[in-house]
Amino acid sequence: MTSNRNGAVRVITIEGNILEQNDRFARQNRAYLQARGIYTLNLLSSPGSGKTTLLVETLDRLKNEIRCAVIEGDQQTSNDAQRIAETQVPVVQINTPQSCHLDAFHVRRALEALPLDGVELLFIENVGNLICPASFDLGEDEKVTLMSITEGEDKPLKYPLAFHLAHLLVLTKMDLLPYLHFDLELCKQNAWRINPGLSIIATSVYSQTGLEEWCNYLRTRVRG
Amino acid sequence: MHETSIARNVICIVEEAAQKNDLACVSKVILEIGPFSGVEIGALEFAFSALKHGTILQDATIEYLTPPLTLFCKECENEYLGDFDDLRCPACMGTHFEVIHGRELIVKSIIGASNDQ
Repeated sequence: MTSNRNGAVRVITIEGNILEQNDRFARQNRAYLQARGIYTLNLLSSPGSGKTTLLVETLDRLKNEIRCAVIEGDQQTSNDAQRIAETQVPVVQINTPQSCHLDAFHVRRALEALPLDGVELLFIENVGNLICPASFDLGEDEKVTLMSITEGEDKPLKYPLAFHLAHLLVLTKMDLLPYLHFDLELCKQNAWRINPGLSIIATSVYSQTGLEEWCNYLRTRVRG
Repeated sequence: MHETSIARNVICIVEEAAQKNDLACVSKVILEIGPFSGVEIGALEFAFSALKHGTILQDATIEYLTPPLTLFCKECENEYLGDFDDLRCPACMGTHFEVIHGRELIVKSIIGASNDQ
C-alpha cells in the first residue's frame, strides 16, 4: 500500500482483491481437504434442476465403494439434508438466510462439523442459483454445473460464468425429452461456445440414463 | 444478490486502509469490476446506497472502471475482445483460451483527507 501526500488530500493505492477474505478461507479449505485426500465437487445449478435427486441416487450407487460426505446449502429448511441422511452418508446442512450463495467460510464451519475420517469424495450442493455461487471459490477441486433440459438450450449463454468455470455439465431430466422442444445438440454447442473443453453427461434419474457414466466420472476423480 | 457481500467487503477494505493511513474521511473510491466477474454494477450501487450510511464511505463517490473482456488464444496467440455469445477465438475458432481481463474485482485506490491537516 502506497500513498502520495497532496496537502490534506491523499490518494491511497490499494489494488486489493475484493474477495480476498473469501479466497483466503478457500485456500485453507483446499489445503485441508487435499491433505486428507478428499476430492471435492461444488455443484451449481438453478433451483429445481434436480441436484438433490441426482445426489441421492449417486450416493446409493457409490456409498459401498467410495466413502462420501455432503454439505447441503439452502436458504432455508433442512429438507435436502434429511433426504441425504436417509442414504446414511454424513451430511451437514448450511442455511444462508441472508445470502444467495455459499462462501468459503460457510464451508469451513461445515467441515468442522462433518465426520471426515476416511472420506474420499465430498459433494458441496450449493444454493440453487446460477449467478451468485459462481463468483465464490469454496476450496473445491472442481465445479460441476447441472442444468435440467426444461431450462432451455440457451442457458449456457444466459449465465456464462457458471458454465465457463465448470469442468463438467450434467444435463438432468433427460426422460422429459419427448415432451419438450429441446435441441440437445444446440445446447451442447452453446455450452462449448462458452467452455470448449467442457465434458457433458446427459442423465435422468427417472429413466436411469447416464448414471453409470456420471458415477464412472466420479470414480475416476477419486481413484485417478 | 451477492453484490451485498461484495459491497460489505469493499467497505471493510476501505475502512481498514483509511485507518492505516490516518484518513478522517474518504471522498472517492475507485473500483475495477470486470464484465465477467459475475457482479452487476447497478446492483452494487444499490447495495452501497443501503450499506454506506454511518461508514467512512458515507459521502464518497464510487467510480467504476470496467475493463473489457479480453481473451488470449493459446492456439494462434491472438489476443481478442470476448463476445459473450461465443468466447472462442474469432481468428482460428480455437478452443483453448484464457481470460486475461474481465474477471477483476479490485479496490484500486481511495482518495481522502488526513486527520493531521
